[in-house]
Amino acid sequence: MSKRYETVKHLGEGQFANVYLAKDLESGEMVAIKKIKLGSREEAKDGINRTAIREIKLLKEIHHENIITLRDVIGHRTSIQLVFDFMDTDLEHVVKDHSIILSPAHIKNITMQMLLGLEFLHAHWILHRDLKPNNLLLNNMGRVKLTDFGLARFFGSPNRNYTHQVVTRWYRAPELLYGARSYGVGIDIWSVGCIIAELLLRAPIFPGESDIDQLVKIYNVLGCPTEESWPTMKTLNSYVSIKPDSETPGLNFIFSAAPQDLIDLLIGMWTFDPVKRLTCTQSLQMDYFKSQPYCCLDEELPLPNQKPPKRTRRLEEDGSHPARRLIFE
Amino acid sequence: MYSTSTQKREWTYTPEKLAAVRLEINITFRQKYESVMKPEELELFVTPEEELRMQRSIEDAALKFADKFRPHIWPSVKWTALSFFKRAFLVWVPSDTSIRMVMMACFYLAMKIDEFYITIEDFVRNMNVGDPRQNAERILKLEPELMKCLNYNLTVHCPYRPFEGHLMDMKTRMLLLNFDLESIRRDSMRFFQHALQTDVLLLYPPSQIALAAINYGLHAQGKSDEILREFLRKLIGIEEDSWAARDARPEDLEKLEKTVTRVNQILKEVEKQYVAVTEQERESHKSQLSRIQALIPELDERRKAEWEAGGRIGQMPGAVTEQPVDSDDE
Repeated sequence: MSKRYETVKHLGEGQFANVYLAKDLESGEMVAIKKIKLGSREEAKDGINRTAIREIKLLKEIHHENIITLRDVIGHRTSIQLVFDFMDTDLEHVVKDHSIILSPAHIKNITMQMLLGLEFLHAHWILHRDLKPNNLLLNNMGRVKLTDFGLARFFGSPNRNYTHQVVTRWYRAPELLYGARSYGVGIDIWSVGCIIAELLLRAPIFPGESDIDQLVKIYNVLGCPTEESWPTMKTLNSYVSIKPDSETPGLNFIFSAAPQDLIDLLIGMWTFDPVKRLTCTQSLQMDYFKSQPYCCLDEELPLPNQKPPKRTRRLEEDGSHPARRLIFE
Repeated sequence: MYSTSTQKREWTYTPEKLAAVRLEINITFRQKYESVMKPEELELFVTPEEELRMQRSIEDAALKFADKFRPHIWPSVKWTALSFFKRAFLVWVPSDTSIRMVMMACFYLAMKIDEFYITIEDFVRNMNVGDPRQNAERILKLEPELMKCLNYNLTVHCPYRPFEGHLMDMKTRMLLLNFDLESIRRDSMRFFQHALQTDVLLLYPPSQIALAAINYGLHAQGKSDEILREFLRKLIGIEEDSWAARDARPEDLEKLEKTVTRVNQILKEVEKQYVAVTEQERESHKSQLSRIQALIPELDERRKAEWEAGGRIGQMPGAVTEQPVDSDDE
């Protein structure tokens, strides 16, 4: 019996799955294998986990360089194993690693890759519904890929309502916070705006502690939506009127180092009225991507925890210069 | 997107190819057991045509099950479930599986796929045969096997959305119609219900099936084919009765003719294939299947004995080839 994948190590355990690093013996590439538990446990009493089913159903249909590839599915007596591309890190780690410097060209590259992946998704009538730094993976080739399709779904069905309990709160669009039951691509774009801001600030821009606090955090930065800027706001299920700080510092103050074309992009992504908010395609056509500094090369994107070359470290340890020692010994 | 879908790539056939696949799995099953069967047992084998009628009889029962299901399910659940079922029996044969249970597993999986939330307890409460706990166990056991059999291609494109889209388009583009287009809806839905018990799901794109449903509805209202033709002309962008018509691009005209032919083909196919299953037929299928299924454990024993007598060459019959990643929680 041939065995195609050889386990290297256990990477982590989730509620319904274990994740392993493995080697694909056919191609020699490293892969990540998500092993979904089956059986009679409490979490599997209704059969195969819904999030896993959503991932399989959607990822089998779509193939794009900025979306994680489901390379293989292996059915087994006690588990279903999903074989994904192995990715070295994710944007949450990048943001939190303060030894990494993100230059404007790095951020432009990451933003573009994110938007290209998301544009493809939306063109296939799929909403991601959980975009956050943690769900944007990065490999050592500088490729950014959208992952975690456990909340994703097809959209566009008339007369079908969706739950507003999606998207991790800090990245959630205002219409969701107001309980909107029918929504569209705008919710993903809002999250992308929050992620770009986080790459710039190295901290979440709207870290709300409750749904109401989330709105307050947003309005303190962007000001309040008005009847004019967002006419349908008051028709939403859980609309409440909120009085934020009367003075907002403005995006130019918060992102003091960002060029105006980037501020314009953020303003477009954070337009309150979802109908007027930028789409992925419109975002990609903004001046931001046409001005210098242009995107860096993919391979120039920094990865966290890159150990400094050994020689340098030895220099720090004993103070002598290793190269010279080699020559004169 | 249908054009890049697994449905189009992996699960859409020509009629000839479909017949060939059905014949092949029928022969494979026959060959598996033929050598260990006594001459008088051979008559238990069913033909591909009989197998197809058995599927139809389960489909018929399943649609009644679906219409009685509580809470109410939306039509796309039905379409998805029956697509799974038809695909599954291009891999499995009815003699080798519990065809009725497979259908139930198809519905249970389709509900998950279509985001229709239901627990397994509530699901089996809708079944009127068998013990609820056993039913639940069997469905849950079948679920991963079914997904594997479907090659994990779980997205099904249904014709209901294109139907709504076409209808909306017709209402806005064809302002001179002197009747209410909504009047075709009931008949169009009946067409879909009939189509579900045919092979058109495996043969044509959903948007064309939707056009056929519209034409069926128009016919039922005593309207001519001209209405659909005119709509298609507008959809494709061919001006009618004007100087521009002379300049219509040949590829557009060809597309129009092709689509019209297709729609007629689908209508004919549904009319031809949709033959209600009689109670008598259903009973005879049941007894035919139960006879061969009762014999299978015995046949498997005989195959194992044959394998042992033959020097245990190759894999033991019935052994499952699996590919574990590791064995931490086996």
